[in-house]
Amino acid sequence: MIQTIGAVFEDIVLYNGKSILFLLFLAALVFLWSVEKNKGVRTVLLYLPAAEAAIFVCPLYAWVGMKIDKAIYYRVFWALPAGVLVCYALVTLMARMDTFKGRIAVFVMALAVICLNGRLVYTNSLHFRASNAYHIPSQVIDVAEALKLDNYKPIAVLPAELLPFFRQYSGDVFTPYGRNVIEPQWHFENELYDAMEGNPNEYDAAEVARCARDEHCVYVVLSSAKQINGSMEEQNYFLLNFVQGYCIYMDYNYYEVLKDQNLLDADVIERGNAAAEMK
Amino acid sequence: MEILKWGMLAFLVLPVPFVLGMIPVKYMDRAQKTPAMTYLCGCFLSFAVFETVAVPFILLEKSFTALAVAYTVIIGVLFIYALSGIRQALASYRGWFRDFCSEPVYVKARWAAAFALIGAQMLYAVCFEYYDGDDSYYIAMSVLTDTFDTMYLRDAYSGYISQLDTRHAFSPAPIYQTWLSRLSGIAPAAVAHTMLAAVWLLLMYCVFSQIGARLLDKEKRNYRPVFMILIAVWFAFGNISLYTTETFAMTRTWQGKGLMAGIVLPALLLCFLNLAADGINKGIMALLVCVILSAVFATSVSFMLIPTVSGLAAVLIGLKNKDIKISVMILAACIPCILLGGLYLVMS
Repeated sequence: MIQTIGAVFEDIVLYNGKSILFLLFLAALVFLWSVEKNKGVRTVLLYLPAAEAAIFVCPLYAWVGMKIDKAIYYRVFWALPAGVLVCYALVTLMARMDTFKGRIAVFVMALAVICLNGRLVYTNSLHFRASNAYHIPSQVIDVAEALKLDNYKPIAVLPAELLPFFRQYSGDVFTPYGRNVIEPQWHFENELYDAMEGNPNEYDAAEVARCARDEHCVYVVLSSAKQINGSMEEQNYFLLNFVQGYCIYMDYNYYEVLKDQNLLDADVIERGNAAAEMK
Repeated sequence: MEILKWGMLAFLVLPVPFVLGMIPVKYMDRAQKTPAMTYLCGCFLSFAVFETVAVPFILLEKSFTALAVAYTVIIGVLFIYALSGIRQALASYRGWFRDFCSEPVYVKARWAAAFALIGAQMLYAVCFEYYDGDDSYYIAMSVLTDTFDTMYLRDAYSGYISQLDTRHAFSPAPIYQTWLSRLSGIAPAAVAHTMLAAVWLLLMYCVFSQIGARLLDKEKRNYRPVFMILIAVWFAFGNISLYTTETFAMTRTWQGKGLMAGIVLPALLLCFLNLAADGINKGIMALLVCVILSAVFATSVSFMLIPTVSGLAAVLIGLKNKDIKISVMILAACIPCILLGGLYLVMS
């Protein structure tokens, strides 16, 4: 039980960040408790959040909640209407001022409190100007288009930086793993991923080819920002395309099989034949 | 051609919910008969109907096309039914419009500032992208549903066949986005990131505008736009940690979690405010049922959160109104959520 109390406290601290959110919430609650006359508003905006807060920090409730999923217990705090409570308290305070200057002063103070307490969501480093309506990097779209076949859904292994976005654009290409392999807390392990990403500066062509064949990959997509130890051509792959800094290699064995079954697009056959001639 | 597709998508997320909203709003008081209330009622009605129709199709492992046809027919019938009362509904907005026009100039200026802030946030949502790792599950599931015509039967990361994902199967918000995508021809990622990111922000502020209208009536009426300005600033500056309502609502607006944090839970508060003030009202009760089903539609967290919050509200509002019937009605509205939660536990 003590562990549960500690976990709830930890959730509150994490939720609150470095702000005074919970303090503002409590201040608004106390202020409205003393001035709000409307019984309906008091019931829903004061008694209900107070009761919710008491339940959410109750060790028994928290224990049950954390049994279901400890990592997301903090989401119960979404039910506390902190924004409505604080903004309504500020508006109520403003309305109680007798003079125009007083109301303006409260309004400016309100804006200052909200801005200083919080952090502008748009200054988050994960915001970028969108380059397309999909809101995903354009190289993902170009690589996905280059890998797509009209009559067959191939398996392709991709560099880690493309994984979070690739499936958001295309369901026409399978991948041995996706974003799940990137998240360390999910402890997902894959030999091919280790071969692709184990060395940040270099690919070992033999190892990548071996692991990719174990996973039945038709394509291997390698970043041109990294060196290749050996060459994919030596491993019986040919360079199908070069797209936005990514080399798309096709396994010659799969090429032959798919070609025999008439599953390849004309442009892929053309490039495969050209590669065979050069060989 | 592309413009027609975007036009169709805009039609599905703006006029269709607005017209559908006329059904429950018809039963509400004059004060509730506003365009914002109509729009939010229509959105919650469409989410609730989707939840009710989609879950059996998903659990029975039926094709997405079958679900899309069934849902489209139901929404089409409701749309035609709602259209039959459009003249009466539009007439009921006259009072609201007259009140709005008779506001003093300084109140109109405050509204202009509030609209400008909200408009800027919507524009930002369209023009800027936000990286969120969870999209590689939710939007990927939308894409796979569209590609393979199956629901939650593919691994979102690899695309390979998998067992039914019961953890997410009860909350089909991504499948709803596939429905929008299938009908409009716009890719799921664009539906979510470009259209819903902005439109669901509008929906969120519709909910807060109705909360403001409920809290600030009579002599405090002129402060409604000030409340909206403060709420818009509160959300813009709400990124105090990764976990807050505001962070989820502003950065993951299109995901079920963002929907739950920023829209569904405030809408639940709106229902309780109305029930506490006016007692049982058919329209508000209908909205409450839709909001509760929308919570399940959005995320499985609702299975624990909704009965807790609704149970507390039922007791408190019942005590305040000295009316056990209202408590029973609120608890009864939770029954679909509890039943789905029970099924979720059994299947998990």
